[in-house]
Amino acid sequence: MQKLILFDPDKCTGCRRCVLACSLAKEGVFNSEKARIGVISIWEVGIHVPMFCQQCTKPLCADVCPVGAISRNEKTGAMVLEPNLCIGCKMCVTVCPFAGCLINPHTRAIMKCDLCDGDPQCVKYCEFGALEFVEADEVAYIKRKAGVDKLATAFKQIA
Amino acid sequence: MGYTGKILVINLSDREVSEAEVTAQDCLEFMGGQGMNIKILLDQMDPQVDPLGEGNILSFGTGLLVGTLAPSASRTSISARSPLTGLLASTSSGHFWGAKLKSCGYDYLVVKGKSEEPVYIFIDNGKVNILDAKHLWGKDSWDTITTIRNELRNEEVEIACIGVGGEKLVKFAAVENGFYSGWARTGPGAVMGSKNLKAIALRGHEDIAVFDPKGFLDAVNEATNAVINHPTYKPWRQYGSVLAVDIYYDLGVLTGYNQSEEVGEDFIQTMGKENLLKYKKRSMACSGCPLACGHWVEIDEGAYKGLKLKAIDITPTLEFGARYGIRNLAAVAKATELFHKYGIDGTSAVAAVAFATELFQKGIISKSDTDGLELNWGDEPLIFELMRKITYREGFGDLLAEGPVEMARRIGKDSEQYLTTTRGLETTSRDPRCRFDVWSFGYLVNARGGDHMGVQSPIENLRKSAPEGEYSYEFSAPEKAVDKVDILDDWKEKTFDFKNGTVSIPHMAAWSQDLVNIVNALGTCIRPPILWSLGPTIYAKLVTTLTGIEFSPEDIRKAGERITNIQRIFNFKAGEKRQDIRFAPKFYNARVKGRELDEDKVNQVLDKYFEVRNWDPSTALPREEKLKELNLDKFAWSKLS
Repeated sequence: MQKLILFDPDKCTGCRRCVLACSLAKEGVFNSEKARIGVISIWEVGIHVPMFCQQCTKPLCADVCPVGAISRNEKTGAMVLEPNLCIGCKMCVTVCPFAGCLINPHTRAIMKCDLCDGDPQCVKYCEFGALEFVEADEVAYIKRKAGVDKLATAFKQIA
Repeated sequence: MGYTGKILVINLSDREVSEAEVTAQDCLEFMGGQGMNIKILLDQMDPQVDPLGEGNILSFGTGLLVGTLAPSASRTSISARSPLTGLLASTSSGHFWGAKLKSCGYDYLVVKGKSEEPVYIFIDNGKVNILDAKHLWGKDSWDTITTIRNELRNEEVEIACIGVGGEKLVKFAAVENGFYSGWARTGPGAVMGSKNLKAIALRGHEDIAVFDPKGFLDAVNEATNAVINHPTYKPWRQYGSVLAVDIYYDLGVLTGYNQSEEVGEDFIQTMGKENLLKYKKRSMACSGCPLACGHWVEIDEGAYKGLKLKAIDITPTLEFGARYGIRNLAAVAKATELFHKYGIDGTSAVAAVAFATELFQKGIISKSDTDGLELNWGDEPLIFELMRKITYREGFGDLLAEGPVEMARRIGKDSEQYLTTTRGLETTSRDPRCRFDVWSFGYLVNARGGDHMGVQSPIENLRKSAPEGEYSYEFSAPEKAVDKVDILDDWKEKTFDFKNGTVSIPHMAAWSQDLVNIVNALGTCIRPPILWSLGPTIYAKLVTTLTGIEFSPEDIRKAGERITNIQRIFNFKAGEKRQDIRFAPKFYNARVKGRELDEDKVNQVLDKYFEVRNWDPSTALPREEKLKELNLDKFAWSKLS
């Protein structure tokens, strides 16, 4: 069964602990430009959205890769980049709609999320529950429950 | 590692750009942030310098832990000589600017001199550009940020800038940090404006290297757990700082009507913490913070319908609410929008207006002084108009823009007896007459003047009853609560007397002040869930694993103490004598709730505090042996006098 990172914009505070944790886990340094996850804040409306690899079912990055450097890890479901095969053509960067494939600002190597081998650090360091690592089959229930909770609050206010 | 080791020095007079080194010894002794800032100022500038002249130095210092996962490590300090108080200007702000400065490859930015024309600085990953800002001059801070982001075609550029307040040299002008944060107190925006510097924009992608990633992560986990398991954490997540509005009201310590009267029940009904929940939509955080005490608020009713921003913190709530008499929390959100856009310190602005209002009500000033305006308490449209006049120094606003102390000097007629400033700065949040405790005592010794941010006790006694014997050195604290505090054993012993259930105010004030200086040097936050749960022991682990420089908990404490000592040395050199260390005359001469302060008794506590610090009580200066112990010999007495 595949697990995925689920994002809830109402819970995100824009703290970027996910970014810091990712950068430390993957590169051993703090550098937001080396994290596999990046947060964009729309300050005028107070909204923060982390962008990261969605581990697509039909991954354009793998389709476009001329050397087959990106393939699925069956255990975690992550699309994983094999750095020894990668030629740095950046076609994956071009086609990905989510900035899931990135260019290291110093080495120019391609970087992408591998779900930390099934224990994503971004999720672990999100203190606000804005990122959750959940079973794909659970998503429907989680989303329904969140919607129903909002309705329940509204009903309480009317009653 | 963990810090870049570089100071960027920009002289706007000749546009010379240079770099200086931060040594491991500097790091051990002053850590970062405000600590290093003051060292830089003392090394390179005469503290008697004209605050708005070419000689004043504006130093931006990132905390040593900033840009890392250490909980709340986001804060950067600005230091200079203050145009408002003449003392050390000292103010800290979080958000993301400091982390970005480190990504540009610098720990500190030191701005000297004065540009002939308006300019802004753009640091592009270590490359310094000094760009024309004539098109930005006259714009409010939000417009400035948006315009710069558009012209640099990058929304992610972090920007510190001044609004019109800084351009017009309003004595309490702020430097804004993004849209909703800022370095507000003590007038750094006026210093920036005097240099014709509109903004500092940053883009960078350098690493913050980590000496021992695994060890650092372990320390981060330990620190984060301490924060999120602290009893204050959950309520702070919901209410943020306004949690304490209700507590201070219950204690009866609010600063009603320019600290002349108590506030009534209508205050807590309209301004109490539950009112926040009508407007709060989400929490907002600074870089790396697991608390997120900021609120995204949306006003969907009344006069300010449609207003959306990050707002409603305790200080504006208490100052616009208690001090000036506003009874509408949505108006605090509106005030927040205005002071950020104008680039002025809302706290000082409302204090100037409240002071003027008391003078007006007492008949000391009249409509002929106020451009025909009738000054009443709690008048929302009026104070917003006065904030605009202050910003543009228009008419009566030109006088208000000087701040209360200078206003009193110009108005004369005994108006200084209505001042609520202590050592030049408005005494905020709590009235020292109502409750003489560590907090109140802190107004007397805080480096930047008499507000509450320099001496914050890591354990507060917020029980309803007043301390037993107001002017004794003690108040009570439960032993169980003290166990959770990261305080070194020898200090614990000196500070707490568990048999009698008391705390020594001079000892606790010294510990707290050093702790706040540690926090401001490391770049963490003084919000209670963090300040009360993290101390020298865990900070030593964080800093050692990050930098590779071996810090003991005692090294951390000592660095905090060293910073307190150089703050006092700066202020002494700037002209503050022992006899200047006193509350506003109002607090000694006028009563609130049947109380006034007894100056002799306050001085007894001060003398005891000087003794705890090993400072000479006649000068309030560190004795030679203390300077030696802190490796500050070069500031020996003979050189100070």
